[in-house]
Amino acid sequence: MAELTISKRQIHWQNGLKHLLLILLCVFAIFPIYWMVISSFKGQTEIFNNSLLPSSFSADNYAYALEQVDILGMTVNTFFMAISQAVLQLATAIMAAYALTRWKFPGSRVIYTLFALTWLVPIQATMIPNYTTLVNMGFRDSIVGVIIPNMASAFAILSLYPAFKSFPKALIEAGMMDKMSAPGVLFKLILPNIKSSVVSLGILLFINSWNEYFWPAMIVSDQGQATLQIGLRSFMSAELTSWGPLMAAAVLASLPILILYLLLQKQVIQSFVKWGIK
Amino acid sequence: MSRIVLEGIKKSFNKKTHVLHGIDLHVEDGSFTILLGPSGCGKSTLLRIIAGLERSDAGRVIIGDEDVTRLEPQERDLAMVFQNYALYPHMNVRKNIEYGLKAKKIPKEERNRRIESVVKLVQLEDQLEKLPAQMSGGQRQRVALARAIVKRPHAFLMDEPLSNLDAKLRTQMRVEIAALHKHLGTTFLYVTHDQVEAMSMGTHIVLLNGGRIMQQGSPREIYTNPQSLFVAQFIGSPPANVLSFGDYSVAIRPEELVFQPSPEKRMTLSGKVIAREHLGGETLYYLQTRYGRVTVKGEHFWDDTSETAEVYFGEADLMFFDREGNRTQKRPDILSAFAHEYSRAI
Repeated sequence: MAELTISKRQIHWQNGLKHLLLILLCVFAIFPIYWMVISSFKGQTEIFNNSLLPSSFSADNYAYALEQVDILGMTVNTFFMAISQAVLQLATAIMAAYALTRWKFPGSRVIYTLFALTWLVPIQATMIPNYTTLVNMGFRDSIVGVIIPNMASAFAILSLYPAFKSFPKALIEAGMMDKMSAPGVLFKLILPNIKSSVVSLGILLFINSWNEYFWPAMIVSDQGQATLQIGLRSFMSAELTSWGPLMAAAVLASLPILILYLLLQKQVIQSFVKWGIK
Repeated sequence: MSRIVLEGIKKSFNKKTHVLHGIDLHVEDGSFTILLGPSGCGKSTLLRIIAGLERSDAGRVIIGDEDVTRLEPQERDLAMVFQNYALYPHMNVRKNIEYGLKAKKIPKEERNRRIESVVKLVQLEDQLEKLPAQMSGGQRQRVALARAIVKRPHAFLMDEPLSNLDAKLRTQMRVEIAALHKHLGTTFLYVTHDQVEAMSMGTHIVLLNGGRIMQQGSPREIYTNPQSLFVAQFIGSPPANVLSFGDYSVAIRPEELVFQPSPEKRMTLSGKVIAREHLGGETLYYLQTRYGRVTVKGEHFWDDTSETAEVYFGEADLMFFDREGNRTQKRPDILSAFAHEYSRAI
């Protein structure tokens, strides 16, 4: 009986410690966002002090930010870019994974390996050739130029490959006996059955595209074509960074994705867990 | 016309593993033909070649009067029932059955009429809205059958469709599939490794081994007149006993061995009873004789515990095979020598 009590107490302790750790991690995760929000309401004078709350809540930063940059237009641009990239990456990944798993053709292993290898190539290695190509094609300062080199994603292909590979062959054969064509097998049979994988990957690709900064910043300098992430840059300069309006713009930039997250909370967490990415 | 003709079908995997060595086969229109053989004999590959799911390396496949060797499965107008049912998991029973009809562009009214009659036939009237995952193995098998039947194909191909069911359900489905064949009158081509299924359902059995046809014929012909030792030992439950006799092998069916001598059964074997299996209606006795182990299928003696037994058989019960395992005539001199050897006890 005594042993039982001790073990129960131990479990209590362990649980307590685990929760403490989780609370600490939550604080680490939430604090920067909290700091961004309260800073956006602070006046110019108190922006650098350490108070956890502003002395008075002021919306001046928001008014200034909205006046300075076209946040709404940039939000539309960002949505357009992120949705287009996510959809195109999904579409190309679905077709590539289907082709690689469905048919045995010479070189399929080589192609798969090449996909895996391109994933390992950092953006710094490809940005110059991509940049010159796109500029030559006349896509400088265009949101389409941001999208084109990101139409296919090796990560997306490699992520979908196992789902296609493990799809029961007998089902595909049953579909063929039922007169399904090759696209029919894909759209009417495979995709409806692996839709949770596809949707969760889609969410992940969307968030990745939304957060992209480096490549859009290279291609786009025109404010009319800029994404939110580039818009934020306009509050920073070598001489002066307007931290208050920058924080206000950052809050506005995070809002759509935050709302999306709140709406699709379950799916977003599932997709992060599924693809092992945070 | 829905006969199926195979001419010189050859298949190897990776150019190394030869699975089929030139199969010639004529499947009669309206027959219930069984492709029977041990695992790895090539029977499923042969079925898949007929379905178009696998390409043969050589040979021709003819369905009706059309050479379909180069046609895709979609173009062959066949229906297949798979071992694991292969029902579309995201579609309910109705949609599973309906899909093939939609693909054939059959109008909705006709589709509904056909679905209604087929679900009645396989007794699934009240299950139409269920998903496959909500059904038992037996029910899924019926859906798979309904999906095939509703298309009214040239022929039905079935790849071990009962092997995932429990023994009782298997027996029941055996009867139902045989009745279905009678009702539809369409060609059935059925792959199995279970000789009981083959004997009980088929009108024609094709026995394969190592990628070659060993023998084909009606269940009766195959059972009563095996052309090789392989066939004698594969068909029958339990299989035929084989005794060595010089250059020959002699096979006797377990049910031909009896415990009482008679004018027709004057030869004998004696041995130690090593096991008895009481099956209810009959009993299997396993005897260890000086010529090897022998199985006897006979009436049951529940209380009999004797440790030795003598069994009797006659000339008519013997099947002789040569050294290569091929059936040979009963030469009078060999027969009398055999009779002499096995008649000492009388």
